[in-house]
Amino acid sequence: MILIITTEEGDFSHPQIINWLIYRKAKYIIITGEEIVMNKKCITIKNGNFYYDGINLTDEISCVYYRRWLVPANFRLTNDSTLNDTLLQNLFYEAKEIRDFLFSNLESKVWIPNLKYLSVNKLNVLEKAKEIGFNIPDYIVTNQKKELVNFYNNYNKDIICKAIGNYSKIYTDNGSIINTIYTKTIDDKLIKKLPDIFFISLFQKRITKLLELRVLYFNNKTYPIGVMSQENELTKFDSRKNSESIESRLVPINIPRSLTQKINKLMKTLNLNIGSLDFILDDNNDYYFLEVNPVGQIGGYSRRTTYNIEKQIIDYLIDLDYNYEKTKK
Amino acid sequence: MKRQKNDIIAIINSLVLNGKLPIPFFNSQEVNNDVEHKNIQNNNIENKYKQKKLPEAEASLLISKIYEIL
Repeated sequence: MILIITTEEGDFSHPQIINWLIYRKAKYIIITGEEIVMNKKCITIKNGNFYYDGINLTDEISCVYYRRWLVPANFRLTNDSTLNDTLLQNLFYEAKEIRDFLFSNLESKVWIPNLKYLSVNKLNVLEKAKEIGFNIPDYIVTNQKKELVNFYNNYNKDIICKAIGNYSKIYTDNGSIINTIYTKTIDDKLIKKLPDIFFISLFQKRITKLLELRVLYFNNKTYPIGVMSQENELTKFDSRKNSESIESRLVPINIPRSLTQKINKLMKTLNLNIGSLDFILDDNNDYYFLEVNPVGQIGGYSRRTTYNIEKQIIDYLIDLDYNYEKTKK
Repeated sequence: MKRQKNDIIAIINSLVLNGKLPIPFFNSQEVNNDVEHKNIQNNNIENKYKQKKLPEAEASLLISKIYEIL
């Protein structure tokens, strides 16, 4: 049986995966973090086995497709908000213990992505990519203004800043939502206002974009996509900035074989069997590696480029499951 | 609402300039609530995707939708 770990909150890749499982008449089960916190399913752990709605996952599961694990952050148990927050915190810790046990209980199964590498450190990845021979944008992480000023001047005052890891959206009491994810430019005006010691931040030399690329990777195969973000003013600087009317075109493209080889080497070095890698092609026709996301959304990219990677994933999982069942018999 | 959003961004900017938040938080973008809520609604997984199995009749219908897209 194939296990899908995902969220009820919404995920573009998830329905495509499920559709293919249904079409192939595969044996599968879906688990979400929300179900556990909201106590929606029957769960028992006994004799080292994890039973979920009566199914012995420890025994039945052959492989796992992990998308994400979320818990509902804003449900109310009581009107006393402090009491509510602390009760939820306890629930989340308990749910986390259950999750950690489930993951470790299933660690001998095949995971996509690899269980031990569900997240990567972006700075570490940049350094590994550099060792492998990728161009990466020169960067500095600092909390000192004098270091920032030196870096800024070294690159002709053409630098950007972005999160070291990932920021999530910020919510306020009155329902406003603030999005902090976008890449920002640094200018004299901002530097002048900064204190000598500010909060530690990542700064990068800005690479002039000819083309933005996203390369999807699954089991030694690459699926390169051109993100035509330079066609729209809004998305020129950061392709994630789109509105309902403007969305960058995505087109399947070819990349040099040497780049594909480096991608394969990087993914093997990082022990990743799936992921999406971001690149920039600059005006000198050099490719710059930006980052890799091991559990990135593939759905939109896969569908709009007709790569149909979900099918490759499901074919692979079904083969694994078939062989597992055969071995059990 | 616009004023409230600007106030929040001003608070965040002030925290950045006082060294309490990373620089990328500076001049963060406000998200239109209505659009955001619509997106969240659109992204919610339909009940059928939470089920262990779908009736076969519906499965073939779903897969035909995939081919339509492709």
